[in-house]
Amino acid sequence: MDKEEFSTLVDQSGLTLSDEQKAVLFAAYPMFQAMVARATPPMSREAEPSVIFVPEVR
Amino acid sequence: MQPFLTIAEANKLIADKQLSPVELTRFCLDRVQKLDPVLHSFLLLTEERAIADATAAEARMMAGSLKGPLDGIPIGHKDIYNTAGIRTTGHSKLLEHNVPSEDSVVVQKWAEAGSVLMGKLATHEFAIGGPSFDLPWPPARNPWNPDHFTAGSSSGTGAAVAAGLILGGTGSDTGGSIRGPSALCGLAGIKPTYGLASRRGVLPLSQTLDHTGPMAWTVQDCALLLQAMAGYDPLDPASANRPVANFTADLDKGAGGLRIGVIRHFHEIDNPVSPATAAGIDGALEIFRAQGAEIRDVTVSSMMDYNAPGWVILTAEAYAVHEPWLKQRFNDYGELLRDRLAFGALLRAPEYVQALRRRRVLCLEMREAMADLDILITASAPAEAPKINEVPKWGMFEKPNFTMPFNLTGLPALSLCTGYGVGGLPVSMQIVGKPFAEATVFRAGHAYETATAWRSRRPAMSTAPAA
Amino acid sequence: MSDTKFEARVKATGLRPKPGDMPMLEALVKDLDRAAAMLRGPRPYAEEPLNAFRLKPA
Repeated sequence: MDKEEFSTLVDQSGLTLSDEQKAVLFAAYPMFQAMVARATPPMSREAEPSVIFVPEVR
Repeated sequence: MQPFLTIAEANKLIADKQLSPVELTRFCLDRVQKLDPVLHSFLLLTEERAIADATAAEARMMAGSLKGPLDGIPIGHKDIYNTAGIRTTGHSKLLEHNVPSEDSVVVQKWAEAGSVLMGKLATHEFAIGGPSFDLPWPPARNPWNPDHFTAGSSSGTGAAVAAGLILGGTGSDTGGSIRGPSALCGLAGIKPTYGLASRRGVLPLSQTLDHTGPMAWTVQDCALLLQAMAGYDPLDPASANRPVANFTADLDKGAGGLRIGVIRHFHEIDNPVSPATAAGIDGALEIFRAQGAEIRDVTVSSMMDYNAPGWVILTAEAYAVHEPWLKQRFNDYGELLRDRLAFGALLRAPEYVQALRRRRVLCLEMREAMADLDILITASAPAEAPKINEVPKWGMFEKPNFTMPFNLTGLPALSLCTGYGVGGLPVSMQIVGKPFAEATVFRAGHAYETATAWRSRRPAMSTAPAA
Repeated sequence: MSDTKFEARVKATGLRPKPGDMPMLEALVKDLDRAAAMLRGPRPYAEEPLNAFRLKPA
């Protein structure tokens, strides 16, 4: 992803960041993406999420 | 009066009418006046309330109607715990003047147990952004060397307990915020099982990872503090509806017969620890073995595999909590919080859900690894505390931390001091238990602590004679 | 939501729809944006999610 695409991503999120703030995040974004990739390896289609919906709301 | 007392020691003296809670409280208040201009552990000192609480405790002492082991004990609360009529800021400009109308459940429970509220303690901003120098209050400093980091986010509790300003305090732990400062400040601190202690009335960071828990000088004191904060809360949707165990019943049983697993690759390969930290863990294993424990190594996924979904979930959930303010008042946050959480805006919903699915896979893996074991042991921090101005903004991306795996899996995890490194600051280890098996974790921790002399040493600044 | 061009937003996600599908996709996303904005709030700061993480005793 280039700087411009990153800027588009940030803008569409609704955050209002200065160019300088965007540059700081852009520099760290590859590390964040690597973390996301590591958190989401291929899993079996049946793998359930760890949080459970329980209809007895309290 | 002895210069430093544990909660258990103070309780015994109070019960025997040999220690006045008012005298103890004044002693702690004097120490705050002397040391906190350097430590910055308190955001708000509630001196009048402390004296009133202590006076009431003293009256109960004289009447022979003490409420229990916390009666008359000076404590503090991390400033994300709501306190009725007392400012609760999250260490943030955004809540600089926030005064809640109700106590959080834990604050209420400790108050009902007779504790003496000394004040509100420094935190990383909203329990994630720190150490920061661009907030309305400075960051807390490590009493072992004020140039060094306390770790966070329960930074004020770590500093205040280590320096003897309070005897115990609350922390919260979403990725290590109780165990990190406990490790670097040389305390005992436990993140209990997810659902054991109520989170209601505590400023949220990441609801499925947030835990409340105690920090104190000893494992025994943590057990006493947790006993007074644990229990089912029907209004906390994560709260576990089950009886609370007696956390002190097994304390003196020693480690004999315990089956201990060592996740050696966490601290030797995944994030290699300092020689002093490694020696501390090996020394502890020797003590456990000598007491009759069975010890073997266990292997699970790499520590970064546990950290990655943890940080994705934390970032997504925390962004959801803070989104309105991040959109409207981005620059009112400190730089560390706003930059760390801004990535939450860029996460896609499927990535969050995949991380939740991955979390379950890892929970099952850890359960399997513990099937024929009572506790697990690894490090709780890689080394002694670094200098406070050398803490990297993106450290969580660079190296996996030792604490997040047990937020992700929700297992009870205790950090305790295992000695001191070459710089004279504490090193530590982590003891992890099965769900709701805190009593076993405390048993092992107490067995170690009472077999070593580390608890007899306090930071030099707090033992120095008055000028 | 920012006024970032829709094409740029799609590109930043990594999706590559057929050009002919873009008007339909844009209309759909506008509806989703509106729905998301309604969901977002304002909500109480301490409001808990419905799904919960639960542990069973060992």
